[in-house]
Amino acid sequence: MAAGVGHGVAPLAAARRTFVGADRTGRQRRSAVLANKAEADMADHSIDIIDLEKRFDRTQVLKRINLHIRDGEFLTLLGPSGCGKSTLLRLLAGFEPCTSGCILIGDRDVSPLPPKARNIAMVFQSYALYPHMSVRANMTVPLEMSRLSFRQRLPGAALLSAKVRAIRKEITAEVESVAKPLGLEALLDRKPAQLSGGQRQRVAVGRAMVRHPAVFLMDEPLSNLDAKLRQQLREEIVDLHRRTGITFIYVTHDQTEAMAMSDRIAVMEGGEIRQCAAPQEIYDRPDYLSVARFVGATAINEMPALVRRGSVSLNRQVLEMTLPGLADGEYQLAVRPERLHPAEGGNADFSLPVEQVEFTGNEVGIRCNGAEIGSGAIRVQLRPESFRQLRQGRHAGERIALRIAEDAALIFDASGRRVSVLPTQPAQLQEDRLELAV
Amino acid sequence: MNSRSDLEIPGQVTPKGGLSHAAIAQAFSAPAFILLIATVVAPVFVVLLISLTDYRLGRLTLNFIGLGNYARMLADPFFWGALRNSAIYTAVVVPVSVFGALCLAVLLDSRRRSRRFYEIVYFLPVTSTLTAMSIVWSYLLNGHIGPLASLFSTLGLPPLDFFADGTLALIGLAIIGIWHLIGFNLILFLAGLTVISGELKEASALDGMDGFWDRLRYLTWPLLAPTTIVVFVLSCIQAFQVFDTVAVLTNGGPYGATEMLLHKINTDTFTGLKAGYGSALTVVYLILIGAFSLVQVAVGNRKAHF
Repeated sequence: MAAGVGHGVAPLAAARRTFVGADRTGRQRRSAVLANKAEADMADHSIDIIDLEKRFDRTQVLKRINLHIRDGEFLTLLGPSGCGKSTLLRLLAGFEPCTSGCILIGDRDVSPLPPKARNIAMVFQSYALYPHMSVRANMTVPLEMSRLSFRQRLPGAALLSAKVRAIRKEITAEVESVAKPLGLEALLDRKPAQLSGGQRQRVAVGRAMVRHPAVFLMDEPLSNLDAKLRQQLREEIVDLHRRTGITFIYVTHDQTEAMAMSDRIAVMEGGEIRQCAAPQEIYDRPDYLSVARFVGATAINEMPALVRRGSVSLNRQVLEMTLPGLADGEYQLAVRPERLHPAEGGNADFSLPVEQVEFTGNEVGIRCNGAEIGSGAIRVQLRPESFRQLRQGRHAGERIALRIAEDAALIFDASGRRVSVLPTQPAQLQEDRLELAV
Repeated sequence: MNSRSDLEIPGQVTPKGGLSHAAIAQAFSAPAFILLIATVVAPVFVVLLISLTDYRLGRLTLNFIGLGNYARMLADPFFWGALRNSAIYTAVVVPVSVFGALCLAVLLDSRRRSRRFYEIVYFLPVTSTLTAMSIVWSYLLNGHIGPLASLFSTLGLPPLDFFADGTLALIGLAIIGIWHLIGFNLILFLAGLTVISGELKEASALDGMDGFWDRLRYLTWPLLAPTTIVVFVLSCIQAFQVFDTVAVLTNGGPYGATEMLLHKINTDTFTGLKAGYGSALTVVYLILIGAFSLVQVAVGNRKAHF
């Protein structure tokens, strides 16, 4: 097994720094990373999470998290509730101390620093706007706190000191320059209670933006909004990311959101990062069955498969594909609904009775009874035009012959790990064999 | 009746014979209403009436003397003394017990395990009988036998006898008043603090408001404004009502230095038997307490909305 990928460290990161072995201690690895970072650009805001653990009393919430986030990347932490994604974000922000391990932002170890010293901004799920302050004050306060001393912030200080006046003027101008592109100019004198959900969200983004943070954290910022607004603000956030080039770390349990917005997704489960890769990679080549199940709008089809000397059979129906490198035994075969194609003539893998046909406008969903191949419902998604072709001369309620598309079968072993994908690629097979031999 | 009203649509008046829902509701609320009239509204009117007479407790006759009692009151130096003492007592007790409770509440709010313990410790004085506790305090603050006296003598300072000295006696009473009030205010502030969500605290920590004073100034106190108004007014009323400690410890002395309004009302009415004059004092007292409540309603309505 390739250690780096297993711990969720991006393979690309290896190009910029020496490979960090899993057998070295956290401290050694930290200094190795730091040495590499010193050579890199000074304004580097990449994040390295090294052997991070978090325990609350006896429950271990995060188990040895290792993750490298590139400067300017949009990374999403995706997972079901309770998987530790919010905890990881809170550790990054500094609201909770970590039990062990460390977090590097650029070349600084931020784990002993308080939240305000980490150069991080955050948009909260509830937005956490200060309800007693106007929008302007909400956005001004972070700058006041960082640029004025306690004495300079006392009431009346602006009257006595020209310097304080100058700083305040500067802050006002900056707040307005941030408010303008967000469309908040007209709302500056309102209180949060007088704003709509979308406007509040924008103010929260504005408050986070004014400090020009190195890293932008977002904790399910769209979960309190209705579907249409969510779609719109999703685009706005992606635009914001592109415009500012800041490193974004986005937490969500909504896989659609994660797929649509991210450069990379780190899928978390049970306090571990299961897989960290680009959305396409996560979708097409999930490392774990749980990841495959979690990602994708329509559930992935799972079929218990038996492998004997490279030939694959589902409930004694032998498939066309062969997996010569695979050890004999029982596996789970998983196929995305759109990678099951209606078969012409004799090249079908299996045929199943149709239970339901569903039109959703741009596609057609067919639900088949999978009892014959030993599984539950099998879902197939087709383009409407191919469904029309299929329908000529036939009727729903009959059987449909299906073929698993080339390279589409994902094979998972009993522990839920992917053992072999893309069986026709010789190079991949070679790697899988090695993996199995270990 | 039950079966009938079950069939009716709520709020509708039954066509003939039966009682309407409004009438039933009035009948049910009548006992409470009558009790309120008999125990609160009627006595206030009786006091108002008596304050216009020269009635003395025990007598069977009374004469209507108009505003005579009020004129006498304005000329009475002991009334002004009592009013001044009450005002000083309130001016000391209220700020200390309100601001002290606020600071304690903020400190306790960040405690997880020990919070329960401190809540109980600070709330105990509220549950105790002040009359009995006054005796304990008189021992603690005693200039000759108490622990304070031995502390002062160990440090080589002159003895400080709280209840023998005119100025100190009032401060002694204020200390007891603060001790008694702070736990109650603390609980109210702790309840108010639950409004401030964890995310809001985290946001403020991220924005740099993580020091005690900064957070109090920018986040906690503004958000506790509605609670603060309630606590402030309740504390004012409580402080103006001080009676137990005066009656037990000083009896208004030495030389009227700790005479408070409520204690003077009691002395004049029940010891001096001048019920008419006592009623006039009571009317002034009621007006003051009413004014505090009006302040709360007026300010509270304006400030409580974000």
